[in-house]
Formats: sequence, structure tokens, C-alpha cells
Amino acid sequence: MDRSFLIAFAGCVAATYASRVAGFYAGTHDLAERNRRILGYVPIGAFTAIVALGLADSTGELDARLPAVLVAGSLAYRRAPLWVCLAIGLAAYYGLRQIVG
Amino acid sequence: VNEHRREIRRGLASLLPIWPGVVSIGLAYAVVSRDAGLTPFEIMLLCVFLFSGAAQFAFTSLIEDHASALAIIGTIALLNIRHVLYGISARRWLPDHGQPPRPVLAHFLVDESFGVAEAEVERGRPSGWFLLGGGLSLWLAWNLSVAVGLLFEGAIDIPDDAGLDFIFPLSFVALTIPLIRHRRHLAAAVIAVAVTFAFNQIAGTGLTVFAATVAAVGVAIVLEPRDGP
Repeated sequence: MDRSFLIAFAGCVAATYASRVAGFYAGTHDLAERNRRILGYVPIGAFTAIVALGLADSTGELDARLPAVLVAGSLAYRRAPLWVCLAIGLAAYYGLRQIVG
Repeated sequence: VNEHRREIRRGLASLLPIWPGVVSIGLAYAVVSRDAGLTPFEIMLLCVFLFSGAAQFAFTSLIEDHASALAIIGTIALLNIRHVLYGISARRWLPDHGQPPRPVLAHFLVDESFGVAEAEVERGRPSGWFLLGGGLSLWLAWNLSVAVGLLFEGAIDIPDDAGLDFIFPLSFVALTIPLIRHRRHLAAAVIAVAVTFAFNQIAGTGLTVFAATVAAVGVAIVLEPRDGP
């Protein structure tokens, strides 16, 4: 195995693991209720960004992806399970791709 | 112990719907990393221990470009910095005892496992064992798909325009919408989208998600009402 690979590999594994474990020890379970609610915004911000990036990088497919996201979102709003949101969202996406090219 | 096993199994099953997306990217990664000159052993080392699709693509590309180790490590650190916020957030529902060891749980803390675990919190069933199961599900899918891709050396060809990568934004829509229960949640989501589009032009994916998350937390600090006496 190449020495430069090994150094980069070990450093990246350490950096990634550090980022994953740090929060578990920096955070605490004993929180005031308001702070608990504030930390509940972390998934909202992160996941919204991931969705937005998925749409921003869709290279000309926005006409099919945006409506499909809205379909999946409306199902999720009605508390449909993840697999239902995915199945119907993907069906909408592939159907729209046929229509809009 | 039976309860823990059941939660792990539920976590494993919860992410099965996104396996097709993971498999398509895993097969592609096997081809890309072989083309970049990595050996199958090196590739599987990355999958087992780094366990991060975006980070592995970046690592492979930088290795191919003969970037310095410091540049590679710095890039990967920035790409994964959002995990710090995931861990801090998860601690609000993850107690000190009766849960998987945090050093073990940490290895399986990825966007998707955190997502389904947060959905369980929303349903009133917070569980570190469920989070562990979700992470294991992703880890298995990722490692198996890359291993299969290496075994068949690109013979399994999923076209670039198959659109299976769209499974990820779709799944995060499904995981995010139930979390938005108040106008202030909606405000945070809108701000996160604005920050995403602003940062996406100048920063990589990891930093963009981190910045959007910090912005959403900033909205929370301003809008969340104070606790009563």
C-alpha cells in the first residue's frame, strides 16, 4: 500500500470519526426545554439543505424533480411511511421525465 | 436485550427503501475508484472505516490529482463537519445509559441514519439502538454494493441518467416535512434553503449543509419562546 495513501487515509478516518463522535460528548442530555427545542432545528436545517442541494444540482431536470418533491412532501405531510413517499415520488419523477423530456 | 435487538432490526429495515440509491452510487464508486488507481483492498478499507460516500468520492479524486495529505484531510474534515451538529442534537434525546456505546454509535452517524432516528423522535420513540440499526443498514448497503462493483469490474452498468440519486433528496423531504410543525420551523427551513443556494456557489456540499444548519439554529434562538418560570 502506498505510504501517501496510508497517511491520507488514516487522517481522513480520524477527522471523520472525530466529527461523528465529538457531538455525542460535546452535547448533553440534561438540557433546559428551550435548548432542547433549539437543537431540534438541526435536522430541519440540515435536511432542508440536502433537499435544496439535490434540486440545485439536478442539471436540467428541475421540471421533473420539483413536482416529484412536492408530491413526496405532501404524502409526508399526511404521515405516509418513507417507502410510500419514495415510491410515489419516484413514480412522479419518472412519469414527468417522460412528459417533459 | 431483546428490546435493543428489536430496535436495531427496526432501524435496519427503516432504511431499506433507500438501498437502491445507495447501491447505484456504490457501483459507480467502485468504477471511479478503480479508474483512479486505488486497489480493491484500499477501496474496501475506505468503505469500512471512512464510510462516507461524498467523502470517499472527494478522497479518491484528490488522491488521483496527487493532492497533499494535508489538503485531503482538510477537505474531508470540512465535508463532514456537519456531523458534530448531528451528535449534539441527538444528545437531547440520547440518555447517558441504556443506549449503545457512543464511540460505536458515532461510526454509524450519517445523514440518513440520523434522519430516520429523528423521525422516530418525532413519533415519540427516540432510540440510540434504532439509530445504530439505521447506520448499520447504510454501512451494509454501501460495503456490499462497492464490493459487488469491484467483483464485477463495471459489468453492472447503471446509466448516469437513471435518476436513482434522486432517492436521497426525496427521502429527506419525507423525513423533514413531519418535523415542520410550527411557523418558526418553516421560517428556519426557508432560511436554510436561502443559505444553501447562497453557499452552494462558493462552498462544497459539507460546508453548505453546515452553514444552513447553523442558520436554522440561529432562527430557533431568535424565534423559540423562553421557558416559563
